[in-house]
Amino acid sequence: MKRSKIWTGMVLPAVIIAMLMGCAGVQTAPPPDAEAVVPADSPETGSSPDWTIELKGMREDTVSAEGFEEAKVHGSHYQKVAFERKGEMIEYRAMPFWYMAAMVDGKDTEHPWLFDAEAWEEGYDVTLTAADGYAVTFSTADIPAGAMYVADEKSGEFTLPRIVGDIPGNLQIKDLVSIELSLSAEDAEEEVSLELDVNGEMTSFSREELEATPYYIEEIGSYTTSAGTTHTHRYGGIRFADFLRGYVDLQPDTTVKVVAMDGYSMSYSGGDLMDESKGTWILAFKSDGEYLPLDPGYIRSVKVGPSKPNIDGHSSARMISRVEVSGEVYREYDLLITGRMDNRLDRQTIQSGVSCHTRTVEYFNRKSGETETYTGIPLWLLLAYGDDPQHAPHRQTDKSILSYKEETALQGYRVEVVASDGFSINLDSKQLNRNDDVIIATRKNGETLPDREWPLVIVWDQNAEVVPEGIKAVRGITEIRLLFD
Amino acid sequence: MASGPPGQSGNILPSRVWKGSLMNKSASAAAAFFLLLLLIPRLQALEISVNGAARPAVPFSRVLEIARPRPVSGEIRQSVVLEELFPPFAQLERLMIRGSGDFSVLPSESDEESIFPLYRSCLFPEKDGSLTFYLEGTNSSEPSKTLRNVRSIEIEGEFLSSGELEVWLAWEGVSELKEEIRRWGRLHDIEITVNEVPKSDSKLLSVLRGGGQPPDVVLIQSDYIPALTAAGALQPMVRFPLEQFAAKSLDALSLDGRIWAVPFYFDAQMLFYRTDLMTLPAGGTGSASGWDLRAFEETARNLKKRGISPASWNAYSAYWLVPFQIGFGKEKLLEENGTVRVDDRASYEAVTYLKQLSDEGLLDLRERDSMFSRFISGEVAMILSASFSIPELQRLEVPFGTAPFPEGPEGPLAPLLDFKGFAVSRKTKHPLLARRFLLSMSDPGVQHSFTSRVFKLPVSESAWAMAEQLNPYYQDLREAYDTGVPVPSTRGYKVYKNTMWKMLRFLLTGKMPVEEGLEKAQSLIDTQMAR
Repeated sequence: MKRSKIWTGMVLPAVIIAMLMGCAGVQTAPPPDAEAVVPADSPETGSSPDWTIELKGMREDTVSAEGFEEAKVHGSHYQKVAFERKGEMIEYRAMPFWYMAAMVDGKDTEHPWLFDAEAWEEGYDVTLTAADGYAVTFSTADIPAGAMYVADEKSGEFTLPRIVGDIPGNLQIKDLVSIELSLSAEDAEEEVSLELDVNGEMTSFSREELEATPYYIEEIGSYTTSAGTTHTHRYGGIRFADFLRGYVDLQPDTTVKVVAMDGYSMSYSGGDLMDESKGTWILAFKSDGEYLPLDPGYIRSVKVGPSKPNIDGHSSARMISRVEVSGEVYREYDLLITGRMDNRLDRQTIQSGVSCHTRTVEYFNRKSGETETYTGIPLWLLLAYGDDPQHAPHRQTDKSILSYKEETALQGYRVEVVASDGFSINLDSKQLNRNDDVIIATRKNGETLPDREWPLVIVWDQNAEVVPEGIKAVRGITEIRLLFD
Repeated sequence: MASGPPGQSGNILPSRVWKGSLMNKSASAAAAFFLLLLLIPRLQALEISVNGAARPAVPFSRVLEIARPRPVSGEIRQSVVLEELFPPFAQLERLMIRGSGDFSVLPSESDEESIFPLYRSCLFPEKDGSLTFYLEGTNSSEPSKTLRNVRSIEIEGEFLSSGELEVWLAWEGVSELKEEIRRWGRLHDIEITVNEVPKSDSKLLSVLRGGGQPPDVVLIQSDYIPALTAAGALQPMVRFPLEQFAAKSLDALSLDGRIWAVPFYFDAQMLFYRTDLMTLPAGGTGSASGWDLRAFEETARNLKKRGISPASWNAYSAYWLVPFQIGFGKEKLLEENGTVRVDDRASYEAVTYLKQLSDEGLLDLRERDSMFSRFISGEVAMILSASFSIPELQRLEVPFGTAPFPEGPEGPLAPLLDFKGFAVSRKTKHPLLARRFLLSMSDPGVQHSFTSRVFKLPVSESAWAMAEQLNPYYQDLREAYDTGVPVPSTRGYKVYKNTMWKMLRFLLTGKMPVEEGLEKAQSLIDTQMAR
């Protein structure tokens, strides 16, 4: 969004005047509880220092000392207020803060700016910044709209603008230079780049740089989505394995992880990427001669080649922003879910599920006395792979039919979570139903699970509303059985 | 200068395998001191009054419980910082200490500075069961003050209303640092959430872009600063005393004349060697000892003759090129525009030298994990790494020693100093509480408590006296600080690093002549800087 520029010396004072005079067009905030709220007298003698406050929200604007002066003369909202500070009543002359908020809390670009009182009460963040850079943020839901003022006079003397009011002391910023509302809908135009992270060493490539490498090719390839749609194009991109070999000793068991802009991630083994028997994996950023847009690009992993390969949609990650190569050895695993339908989910399917339905919990480990952070997918979502004989997630074209059968879960069935060593627990589907606090985790503290918990572990949030009876942190999960007794 | 194990003398094996004898002696002394104190009848508990109202007295045992060693007026003493006894204040109006005499501290009129006396004064538990108050002076007009036999403290001020903070951490020693931070939370009755967040710069930017709530405080490194400040993610560390920090730490965490994080610790690049495969030259190491590149090459050649891979590091990364550029004569690392020039004589000679080492089989070019695993398994005798590797090597019981970087032809190979500091989010709802937290983290006693456990150096120079006694790697780390350069916080450094990451592999593997490659690299750097 381009910054709108207003001539503060000419237009702004008139606008503020009109805004203040056009009271019918302004939603007024609830009257403040300040002890003394009287119409302003004429300004005291002496001149106001020169200052400017930048306003940022749904639009951008500024308020200057000069504009403030004009508003004080003509408006009725510039007030004398008094607040207690360190046991003493101090008088200020001030404008209600919400007037400034009104200038940028909506997309209206000229007077009368409507103050969005509803948004204020629902709550958004406001960041106040002082001239030295000190900043504080508060939620409008915590402060009545009429409680805050922007003052330019204290005890009869001009000051640089400051926040005053019946508000916590840490919000009473002096020498205010910026007010920023979190209502901004601004989307910065992103520069498309690919980051390569090799054991923590990061480097970044633009599309132009990638296209200039000897690894760039253009060939035909396809991917088929879970809904059954096949996308076939002549993709242009870099040969994935060859590109990585320039930076790392790529082995069949090397783990290569792609991370998307929205946090989605997918891992490949070096062996997968090097296997060209059914096509070549590329990081594609062009389709039929044009750069890929954000969706289905900007950068997408896809297989191409003379045989026109077609891969499963969930293996083809889009919006890739980073490729990570670590010392971690790639290990395949799967999870068998049995019940009214049996499904064996491979690592990539599970990873895809975790990416789409990420849930992170704080699990209290009683043995160590430590709180640990686990990331995974809520268990109840996986029950959809076995709770009825016909419908499984991402395997049906009719999206109107939910694959998860809630009514069956509420009727009750046993959910047996089984580890590789045979240990198992039994849980009640009623207590798991839509319970996001119980997850099947793939990561711990941001890293791959340690060996003793790998590949999957069941954990729950320490503040979970419902902790299913019989639950234990089963490690090394290989199977989930839905038992309809 | 490398030295032998404690208790030995002369020019001997410079291996510094930690035996813990110094730590054991200090721990025994501390235990004896506490036992003695517990046996001596205590005088009375410390009376506390806040805003005119009496609060529960603080027993002497409580003072002993939270006391820790810290440097005070040139000595190391068990002490409690006054602020550890109270919840955080927004501002202080009056502080009166009563003991063998009364002492009134006059807080500054500025709200932010009024609370500083709480962080600059401490209580020492004495052997006779009494307490001594000490206020550190700031200048000749505010000298230090001592008051014995303290009986009571009267304090008036305004408490901070906010009672929670979220802190993000990363890198080594997270569990030790979490422990330290949670201790602070317990002492001050503040709910503090501490999360380990790897790659916190990109995570923070994602949270801000998504309109989420960032943490209040985040531990960062200097090269995070350009992107985070450009995104408006941080607020500068104004209204915060920074005089106690090592000058290079403030340089590292500054950009455009502002300091963006409060320094906390640093790691330094060092040379690691297998003590079971080699010894360093008899003259020892260090700037005055003759430990230079010629000695390094001679050592490497001897290893090669014995069939041992001499040395390995990730020379493809500019992180390891910088020391050689400086050792080969680069006078100033950063240009005016914040980037590093690569088409100069020093860079040409540095890259050529590294290529020669590789061509002769003295340097095996490997990225970090591969290099490290070969060192652990004893396949390579020397690596370049940094002090953050020490805890892991110790945990794995690898027989290793450390040494400073050798001298280059035109000066020391200046190791990079990787400073970490705590930054305050611009969108924090608790900026005052965040600053109170950071004032506590800046205490030399806290810095020493953490860094001593993970073999890093604190950034408060007063804490170095303690490190010298208790950190077996202090000498090498201290030499690294004296000769080293901080990892720059400029955008230009990142551009240089990213460009060289792509170019160095062509130059060191002979795919492109060095001079031509460096000219191309300079051209790429200039183009990116011009955008």
